Amino acid sequence: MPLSDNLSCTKTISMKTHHFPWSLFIIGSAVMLSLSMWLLLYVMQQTAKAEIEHTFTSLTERVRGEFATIIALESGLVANTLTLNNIENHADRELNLYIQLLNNERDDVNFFILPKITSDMLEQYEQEKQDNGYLDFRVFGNADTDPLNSTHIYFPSETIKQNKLSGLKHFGRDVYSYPNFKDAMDEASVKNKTVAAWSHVTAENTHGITIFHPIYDTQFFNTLPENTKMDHVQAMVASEIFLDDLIKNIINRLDIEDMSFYISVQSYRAIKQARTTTIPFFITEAADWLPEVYHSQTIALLDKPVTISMKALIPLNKLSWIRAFVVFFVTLVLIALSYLFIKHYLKNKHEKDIADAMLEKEHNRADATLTALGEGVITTDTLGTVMYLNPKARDILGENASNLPLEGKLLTALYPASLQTEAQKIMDSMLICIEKNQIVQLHNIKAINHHGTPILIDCTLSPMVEEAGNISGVALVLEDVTYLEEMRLQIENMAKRDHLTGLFNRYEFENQLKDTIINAHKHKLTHAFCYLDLDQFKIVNDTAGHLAGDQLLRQLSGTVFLRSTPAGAILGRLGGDEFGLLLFNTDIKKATKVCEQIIHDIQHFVFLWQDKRFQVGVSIGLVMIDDLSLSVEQSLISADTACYLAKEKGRNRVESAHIDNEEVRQRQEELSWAERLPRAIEENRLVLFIQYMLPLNGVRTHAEILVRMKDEQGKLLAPNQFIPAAERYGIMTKIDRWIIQRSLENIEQIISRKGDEGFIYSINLSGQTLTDETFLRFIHDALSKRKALAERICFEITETATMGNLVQALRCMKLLKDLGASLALDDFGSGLSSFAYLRQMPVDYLKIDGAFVHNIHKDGINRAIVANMHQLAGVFGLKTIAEYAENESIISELKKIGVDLAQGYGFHVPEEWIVEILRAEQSRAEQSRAEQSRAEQLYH
Amino acid sequence: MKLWLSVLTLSGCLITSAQAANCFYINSYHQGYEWSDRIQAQFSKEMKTVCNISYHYLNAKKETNPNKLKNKGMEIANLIALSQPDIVIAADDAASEYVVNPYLRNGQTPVIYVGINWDPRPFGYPMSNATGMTEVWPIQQALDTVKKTIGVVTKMALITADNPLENRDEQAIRKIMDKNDVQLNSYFVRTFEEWKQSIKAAQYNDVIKLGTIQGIKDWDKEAAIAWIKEHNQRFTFANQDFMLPFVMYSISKSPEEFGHWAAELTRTIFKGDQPWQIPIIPNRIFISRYNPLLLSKTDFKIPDAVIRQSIVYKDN
Repeated sequence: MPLSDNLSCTKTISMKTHHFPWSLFIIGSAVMLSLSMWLLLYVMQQTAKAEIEHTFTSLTERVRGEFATIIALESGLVANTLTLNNIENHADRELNLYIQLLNNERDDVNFFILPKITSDMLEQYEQEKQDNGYLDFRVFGNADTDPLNSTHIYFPSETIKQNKLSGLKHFGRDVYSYPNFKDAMDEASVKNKTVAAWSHVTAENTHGITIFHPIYDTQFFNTLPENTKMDHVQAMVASEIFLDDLIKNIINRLDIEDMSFYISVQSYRAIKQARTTTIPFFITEAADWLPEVYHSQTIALLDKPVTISMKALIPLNKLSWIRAFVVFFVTLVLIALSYLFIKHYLKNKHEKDIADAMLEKEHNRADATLTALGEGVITTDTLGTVMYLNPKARDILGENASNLPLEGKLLTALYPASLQTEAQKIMDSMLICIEKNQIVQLHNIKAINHHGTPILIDCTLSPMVEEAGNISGVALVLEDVTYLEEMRLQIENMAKRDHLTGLFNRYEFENQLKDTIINAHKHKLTHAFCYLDLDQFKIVNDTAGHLAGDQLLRQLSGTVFLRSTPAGAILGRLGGDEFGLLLFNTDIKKATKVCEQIIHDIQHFVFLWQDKRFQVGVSIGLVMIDDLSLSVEQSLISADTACYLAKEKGRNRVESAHIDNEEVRQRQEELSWAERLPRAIEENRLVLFIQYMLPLNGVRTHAEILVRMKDEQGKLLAPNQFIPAAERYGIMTKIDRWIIQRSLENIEQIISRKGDEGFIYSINLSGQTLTDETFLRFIHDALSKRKALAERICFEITETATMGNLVQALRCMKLLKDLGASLALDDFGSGLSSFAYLRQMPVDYLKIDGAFVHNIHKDGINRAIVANMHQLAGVFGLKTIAEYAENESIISELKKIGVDLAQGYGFHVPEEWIVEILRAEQSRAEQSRAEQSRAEQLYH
Repeated sequence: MKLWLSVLTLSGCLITSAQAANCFYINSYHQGYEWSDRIQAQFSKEMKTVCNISYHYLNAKKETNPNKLKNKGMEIANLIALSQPDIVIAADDAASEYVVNPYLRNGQTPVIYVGINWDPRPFGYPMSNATGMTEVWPIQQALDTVKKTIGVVTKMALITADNPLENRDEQAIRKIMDKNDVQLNSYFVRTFEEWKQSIKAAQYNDVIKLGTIQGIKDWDKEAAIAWIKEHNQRFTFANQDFMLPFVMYSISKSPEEFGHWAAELTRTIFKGDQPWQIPIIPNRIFISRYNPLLLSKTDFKIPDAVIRQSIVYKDN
């Protein structure tokens, strides 16, 4: 997809998707944060409240308890006072010590004894005090309410309490002069019990309750009249309770460390004269921004109601800022996570939208592509249900596939009932494809196209693998290969048949021979193999030309052989004038008879060519094939040997090559190529020939390197005389290596010298070499460091040569390509000539077999075949070379077809490669120089 | 820059200094005199974190010349005028006699006195700007214990060094004895020999009270103890704890009480109370001690109640 498309697509989607209500998210987050903080505060506040309530309850309980204690202490003081008075008259010191001890114990109560002074004792009392160090001591009363002397009874205060020095100003104050105290003291004196009174207002403006208990001068005070009881009061034991201090001390003893509150104490200085003081207890820093916690309780101290109120603030430390921070932080984290989640979700959605849009676009594009595709495409799920098929697939699969809709139907539904077996093949392959997770190819599946024409299709099934590795279905690519198949069949047929005679060619005949041997082994039958070699055929060729020879062969094949051989026999042309005949289920007699009949018929056959008459003969080597027969090669050798003997014995006869024929065996041994060929190589009797090719289409000039062999007598042998034997005996690898070795030396020299025309040299490689594992290392060593050299070499291989071990052959071909050499497929058209195989071979040139070329200027079919081959080669990106370009007419036709290179006698007759001479000259020159140098050394 | 830093530092010091109260403490005696040292130590202990205390000594024990003491008093008064302290503490008689009464009476500077014997009026008290604690001797308390120990007391001998302070104490003692119908026979001695003879001469009394020995010439502690052991058959007591080696029982004042009271009053005045609002009171803490060695030589038995509240003397 172009970048601009992507951008525009992204822009469009961005505008579509960025509508998340962020403002709501922010408000939600704020609410969430507030709620969490509020909840935390609420919980902490409730905890603190409970603690405060507990504290307050403890406080009021303890105030009651302390008050009871004070009353008890005062009772103790009264008892002590009475006891001391009973023991001795002067008990002041002990009593004072005791009071002092009590007062030292606590600062919230002032225990003291108020001596009763009458007016007649007053002066003496004051003087004694002054004499004892109390400078200017005077008894004074409440000037406002009760001036002195109104009652003539005084209860002066003479208490000095440590830490209450301000109370010293009351030193000498007549307590009895205060109405509320007077009432209490009177009541106490009458009832002889502890009576409480609100304390008068002190300088500290504190709360106080003073309790009084009388001490009488007689033990019989109960019998006294009420109005005289005060006269018998000796002193008043009093305790002034400082409520504020009392509460402070209690709170201090409560061990409160982390509270902050106000304690309000409401008491009365007199009836209906309420007063309230507030004591702050800021023990810790408080959250004054939180609502206060309020508690209030009125308790009765004796008969005095005291209202204690607590107004507490939530201490800051109770709020646990760490916890608050944790909650705050956790909330923030949650919000952040929510934000990230939403962001991530939006981003994913955004990306998904973009991807969807791109996918849709790609889908459209793919759809268009698939629609335009020349091959049918079908996708199915794993059960074979069709999910998609493109128009071409509908065309290929015909009427059934054209009925809409097809998606959702089984693949078999696309096929007519008559072809369900074909559909089943596809379904079976689909299962294999899914199970093994591999591509499965089906060839030549029958189908009926939309025109109703039966066609053949190649079907490639590929598993559709999801990202997770699961197979979601199968993609089928259907290709109409009817035309190719027809061509293949045609070519295949041609490959089997000898183009001249229409008989099986050698390749196919050997196959038939092989099958015959297997049959004999399998069924314990006896068959016969006859090797026929025409006699005097060369005379025809030499005197009347090749055309006459060819005609003769055609006539023999078409008439004589057909007539002479029994039905079911197989006849093939094995070479120029050599034929093979297979007779089935026979014995040697019958076979010999057939052979003799053939000899007879040929002898009596007269060939007329122009005004000439020719008669030929035939020598036949007969080999019986039974369950003891070894191999095709052995049978061929035996038959060949027998035929040779037949010729030697005078021609036109049949010679049997059975085991007992000692002559045959000897002959076989003598003529064993297995010995001759290696020897020829060792003796350097192989000769390199070269045949240049004519570039027709502006390509580089090629030259094919050929090989000839000199026999033991120095006579040059054509390749067909020793190459088949070499192939038969497995000596081709040696020969190939020899050729390559020599060729490379020559080419290297040519490259190094001036005037190099930049030819590409074609070297033939046999099937044995191609499949020879050691050859790979040999050629690698030879070419890996000589790329320039390798680029000048084109290896020619025949299709049939590769068939023996295709995998190994392909491996070899790939190596040769990797090294820089080019490859040509030789004799194309004479073998299988399968385009399917051609696809797999990394060849650069297609060398059209000469059988199609030698008469293209006359034969329209051959011309068409050559043209087709060239066209096909073009489809595969290959250059074409035509063999047998024997004259200008042929070359002209080839040029018209567009063939790239022409090779044949019409352009160049093979000749010995002259580089050999050059090298010999150089060798001789070097030898001469060496000898001269040696001579000079000797002379000197 | 350095100059500015110095000024700032100095200003800081002055501000800090100005923020704390200044207490001007006048010790009537000298450093090393146990009684006044203990009063001063107690005051210092309680107040050193409250105010900046400056200590000034009149040295009245060593210097008996009144004129010199007056001059010294004037020097200290000048210092007070210059330094303008927040409060003046006058410990013992001489401080009130030579500084407070002549220079500070009814002035603006609050004064706290402690340790004036029996009656502060001869030193100008009461004053509008002063309060304090009068020093009284636990004579009555001692007499009560003596009575519980030996029964009836009609005659009591007082043997003490001959100096003005002791003469004044003797007047106070006599008042108390008179009140208790006890005849007081006083012996003022100047030498150790006189003291020894007085011990012998006082044996006709029911009880002997030994006053101070400070100022008695040729004083020999060991000889005195030996003399007492040998020649005394009467119950002996004192009102000073340093006399315990020579007496069977002592009940004495606590100098710490005066130091503490001076500190209490200072704090109260710093809180805002006016000195005239706080009545002058006597000291009230008395400490009993007894000498078991001397007691064991006699048949006297101090009541258990007293013994339980007394400290045992163990030095001899």
